[in-house]
Amino acid sequence: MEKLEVKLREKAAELLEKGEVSMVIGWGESWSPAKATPVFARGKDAASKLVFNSFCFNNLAVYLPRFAERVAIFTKPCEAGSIVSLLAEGKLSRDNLHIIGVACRGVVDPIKLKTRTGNLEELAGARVEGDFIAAKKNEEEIRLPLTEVVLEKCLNCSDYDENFFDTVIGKANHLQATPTPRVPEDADAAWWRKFWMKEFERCTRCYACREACPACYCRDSCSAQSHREKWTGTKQGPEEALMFHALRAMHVAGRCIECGACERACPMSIPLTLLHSQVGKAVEKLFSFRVGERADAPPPLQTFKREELERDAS
Amino acid sequence: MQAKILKTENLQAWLDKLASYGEVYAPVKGKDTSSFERVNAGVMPDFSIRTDVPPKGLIFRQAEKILAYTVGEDGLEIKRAGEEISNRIIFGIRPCDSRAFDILDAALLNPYASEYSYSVMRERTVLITLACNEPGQTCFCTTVDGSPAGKVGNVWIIDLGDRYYVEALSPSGEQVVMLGEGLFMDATEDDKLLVQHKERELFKAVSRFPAPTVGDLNRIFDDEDFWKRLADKCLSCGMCTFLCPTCHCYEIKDEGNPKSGDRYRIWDSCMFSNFTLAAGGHNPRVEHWKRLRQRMMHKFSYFIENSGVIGCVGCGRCIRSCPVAFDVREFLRDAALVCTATVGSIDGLLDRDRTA
Repeated sequence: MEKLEVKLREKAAELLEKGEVSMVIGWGESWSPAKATPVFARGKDAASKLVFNSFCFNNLAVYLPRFAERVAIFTKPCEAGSIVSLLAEGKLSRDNLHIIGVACRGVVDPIKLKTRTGNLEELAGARVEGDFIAAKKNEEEIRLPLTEVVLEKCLNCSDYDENFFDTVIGKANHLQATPTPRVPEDADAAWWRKFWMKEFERCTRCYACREACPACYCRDSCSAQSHREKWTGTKQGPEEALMFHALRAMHVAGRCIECGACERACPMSIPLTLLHSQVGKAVEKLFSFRVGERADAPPPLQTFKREELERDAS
Repeated sequence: MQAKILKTENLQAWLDKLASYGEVYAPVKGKDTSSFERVNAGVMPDFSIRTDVPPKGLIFRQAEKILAYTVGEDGLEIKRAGEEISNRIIFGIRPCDSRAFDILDAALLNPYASEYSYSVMRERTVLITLACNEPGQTCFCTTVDGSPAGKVGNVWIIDLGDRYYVEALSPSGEQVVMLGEGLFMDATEDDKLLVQHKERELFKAVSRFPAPTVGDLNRIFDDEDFWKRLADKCLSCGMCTFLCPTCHCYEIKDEGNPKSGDRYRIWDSCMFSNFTLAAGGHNPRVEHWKRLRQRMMHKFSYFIENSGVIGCVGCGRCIRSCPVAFDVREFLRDAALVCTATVGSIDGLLDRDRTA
């Protein structure tokens, strides 16, 4: 077993045994070796089921607002921003959290993996070997360089502030590579419109993107499903879907850390991070604000400064 | 009608002839997701895939216009929608998805509240079921009374390598087989024996596990701990219901103004909080674990009590596509375990943490 995993389980067991927390939220194995699943360990035994590898793609911060008791949470350093953002908005209390940062080598993008290997369901024994993903498909060995199948954000991974965490496990050792651009450099409004109208044809409005998003905490009061004001229409189609996703993008503007949980949750593989990174760029330019950096700074769209009137996002 | 044999190289010719009956839909691999699409020039079917999206929406559409109204000088005029539906064939549908329509029938065509547009769509659709030669890892049809070789739909075909064995199961099935007259030969006794053997082999290929009975589930309904832990990781999105071939809950919504407008029947999901939101703000299922319990109970208890069949066909889509890898098989195994345990050990079982 990986040394990291041993430490991770030890830490979880220790916290539970000492009664410092009532639960540890982490990742465990699922039906597929290429897909981890969230685990809620309430006892020492369950702590032994925790794993950490490149298939742990869920952003667990989404669960935090559900719990009033003190809990521990494992987080990839890049997704700690989600917790920071929730703290900044007063949705969580820092005293109720034990945050454990786990050094991460990059997380596999299930969409990229599916594109490269076909059906994920047929992948047997998927695992990380050095900087490769190894798996078997119909008795045939598959070996893919990590850099080719990890999430785009993992190729731009940067150092993080260890002081934010209560515990840090492992040493930062992230990948570095140049991502292949998914969008032409000169993409203009017309290009984007055409692009999204095509992509949103597949949207079933199951709201998995919204539910998987730590910043989307309105949950049952989402305006998209309001019985009173009809912000989105009844008919199915790309226009209505675009309305919902645009609405969501504006609501999480300045709060979205671009973790990509929405995209990975989408059963139709709609590349939603492209939408949120566009909005993110505009927010950064307009407000000189980087999401997830400071727990004491409210999101820019929840404050008003006169000088912001003069700025132009274009 | 005598069972037929179709040589593999003649499949395309039969598909071409089927176009004279109506629109033909078949499994098609898209860039990111696979689904049932209309096949005509340029769109090639791929019968090796179990589609990400079930064909449910071809008959039970996500948003169905059911009527249009106008208020003119002569008063109110209401026009029923849905008459313009053409005949269609769903070709290469797997037995699980095909059987799902029988389950939808039980819910939507029941004599007390028959769903008009669904009934029209259903009547005009012929299902050509393809036995599932390669069941997947998440398939569990045999546990919920199905089989990868289940004879359901209007025509049943099975791939025998160099040829297909074709059996019409209904008059409309015979009609579409007749369209390919000349392409078929009569099946021999040897073919029939081989098919029977394959049916048995395929049934064995999908692992079965003990599932809870209706009584079992009714007994654990009040066990809050069980359901809360089951729902720990559930995000309460509607993915599982929208990709489920048997989920059929819907709501009615109007779009328009006092002068004119349309009424739609649209899919709803029991996983959404406002699914049970009533006038006055009362909501019996505010907590997400209650909604998950509802979904499980409806499929594996209430539906059996109401219609005599399990409300799940074991296609595995909810397992495959779930953003948090929730596994309904795990629920069934756990529920069965909890129920068969002696009273004294139930607490012990509940303390067991669930990881998958």
